Amino acid sequence: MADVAVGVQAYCKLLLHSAKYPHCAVNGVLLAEEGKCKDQKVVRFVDCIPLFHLSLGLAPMLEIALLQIDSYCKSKGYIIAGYYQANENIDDNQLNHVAKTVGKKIQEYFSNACIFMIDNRQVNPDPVSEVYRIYSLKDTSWKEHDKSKRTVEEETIRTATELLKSGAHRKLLDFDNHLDNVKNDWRNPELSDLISRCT
Amino acid sequence: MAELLLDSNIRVWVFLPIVVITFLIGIIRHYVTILLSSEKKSDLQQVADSHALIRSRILRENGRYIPKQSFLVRKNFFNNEDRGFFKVEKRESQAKNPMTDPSMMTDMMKGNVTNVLPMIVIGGWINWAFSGFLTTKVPFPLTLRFKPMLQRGVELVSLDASWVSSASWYFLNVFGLRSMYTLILGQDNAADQTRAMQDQMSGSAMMAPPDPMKAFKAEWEALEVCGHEWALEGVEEELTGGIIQPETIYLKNKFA
Amino acid sequence: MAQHISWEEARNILRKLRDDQVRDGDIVVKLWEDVLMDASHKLGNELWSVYEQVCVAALDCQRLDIAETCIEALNAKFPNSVRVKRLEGLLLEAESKYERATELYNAILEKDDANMFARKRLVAILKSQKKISDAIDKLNDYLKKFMTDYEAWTELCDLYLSVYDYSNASFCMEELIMSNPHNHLFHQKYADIKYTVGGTENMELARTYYAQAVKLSPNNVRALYGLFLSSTNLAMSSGKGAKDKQLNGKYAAWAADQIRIKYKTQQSEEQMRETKVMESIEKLLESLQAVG
Repeated sequence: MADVAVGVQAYCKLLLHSAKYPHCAVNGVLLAEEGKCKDQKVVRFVDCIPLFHLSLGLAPMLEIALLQIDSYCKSKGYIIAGYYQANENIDDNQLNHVAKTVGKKIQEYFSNACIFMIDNRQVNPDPVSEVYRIYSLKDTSWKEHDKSKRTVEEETIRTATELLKSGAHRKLLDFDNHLDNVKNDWRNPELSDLISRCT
Repeated sequence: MAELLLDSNIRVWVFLPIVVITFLIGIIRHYVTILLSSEKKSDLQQVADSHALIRSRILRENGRYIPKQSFLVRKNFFNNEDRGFFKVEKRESQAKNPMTDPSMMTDMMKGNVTNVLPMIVIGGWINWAFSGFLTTKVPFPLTLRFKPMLQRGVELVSLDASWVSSASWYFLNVFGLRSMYTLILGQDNAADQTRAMQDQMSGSAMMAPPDPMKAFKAEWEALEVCGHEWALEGVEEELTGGIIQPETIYLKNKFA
Repeated sequence: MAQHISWEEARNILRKLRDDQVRDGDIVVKLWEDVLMDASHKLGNELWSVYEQVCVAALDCQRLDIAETCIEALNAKFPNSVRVKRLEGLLLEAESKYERATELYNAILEKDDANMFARKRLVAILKSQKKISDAIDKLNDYLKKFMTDYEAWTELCDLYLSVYDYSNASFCMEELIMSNPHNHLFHQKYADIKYTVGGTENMELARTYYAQAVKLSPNNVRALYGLFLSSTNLAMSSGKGAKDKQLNGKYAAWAADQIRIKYKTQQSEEQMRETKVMESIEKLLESLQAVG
């Protein structure tokens, strides 16, 4: 299992997406830079695209989203390398069928793909640890990474907490918002700017 | 017929007071009804039956929007000879006989007390207090048959039937002020006697009819003859090529 | 932020949220704490609806202190009210005291057998405890009695989807479609479920229902995408004759056109270029041409 490092953009957007829809299950994909990943032992996730908060288990929109994001990634030199999911029930941290299916699909294109299952109880302004648990595919099942290994820097967690407190999660737009109104940009350029300004 | 001129005292001391009295009595009746009304207890069985009947009706009306197989599954659920809902569910006939059902009795009595009784009492009082003179003239001509009814206390043979006494003015007010009550007390107010009378005459209950078995039978028959014509047949053709062309005009209409 | 809003504006905002049934606990609680709590005597009879609204919002935000205050005030004004008891039940649920909440709802049902709210909350408790199959059973029992409660059918559909029971989920969606056949969202979700199950027959059904959703609301982007995907899938599948392939190709091309127009009119050039929206659609269309 390769080591994982999660950049500030990815971590913040992931956290804000969960916070924006506390009563729904949410999911999204994480992107890594393609060129840098192939040889190194560390997978660096540089950005994330929040996907859905409605009906995670339905296929068509997921297909469309992955198609579009794939085209986007190719043009930017990224690759879809991870998938995150927060379940609806606050205590439910289990990898369910949807997560495994999407994870497997991503793994076909990127061997070190990871699934991030968000711990809903940590989505608050005073988290005790990182907000997720990471899983990788070993043989045919998904094994959890070592929890003690840090994947984010202190500063990242601080930035994320600040953004959460300031209500930045209201500005986040996911793919569902994009499908509701095509003007909404799932790349979240304004939010990315805000995050870079905060660090 | 010669125009009669009424004493302006009549206007001040009879005409207007009757309006005011009727109005105030109505308001009082509204609040008294609210105070006296008992909570309507809903029966689970009745509620469930009315839901089932509504669902069957919706199936008949909108079943053509779902695939044929799904429609048949549901039709079978309701109408199957051996296990269909409308065949299997038996209900005891609950005739709402006012004599035997105590809660119906009290409801009826309360209705009578608040509506009919005041009307009779006040009507009689007005007749006694304001008798012996004419109050107003109705704007349309009436036949002579109406004279004894409308002109109590004023027995003049040659008087036009349009001239009425105070009692009739009171009854006119009772009906006329209905819209005023709606304005002031909002819809669905208890001061509206005429609606109460209408309810009594039509006699239909708001929930499931007293005899669910009859309703089930009627619904069974209606569903049995109901066929399925899929409303979505050929919708792709209609959308993409068939009738409306070119596509941009189709979109433009909806965007505008 | 909230300090600059007058109490009338706050009251109007709360009214709008109540009418539109929007679930935004954050805003409601902030408005209440910063503005309306001190101005509560000015609200008149509306105060009680506001208390109810703030109570539920506070429970959503886990501000149990505010919720308790609201319930106390409501209890003082309306003792022995079933509606206030409902809020007490919700508070117990928020505190995870599920047994006590269940007892409270059962007590309500003893007095009033036909109370729909208490029954549905019992299902919600089971769902919170992750007893999904029990929740499904209970909800099915409920629906046997209250067959036209469409909120319940929606919830049952979502419960079935969470356990991947697509055939029962599509049964629930059919009920919803019949309840309101002109609601394009119902048709689109039904098509989504059929598409997810897969197979030629289901794919054709999905295509039809997506087309119906587009017909009812040409602005439904999900339905346009769905029509595009399902027609593409059907055109590329091996079991179809040449004529069907051609038809499906036509539908796919039409849908792609509509999507293109929509993006052109709504998105900026730069955004379209960056997100490579059109490229992804073109790619699929090309593969379609390669086959048919």
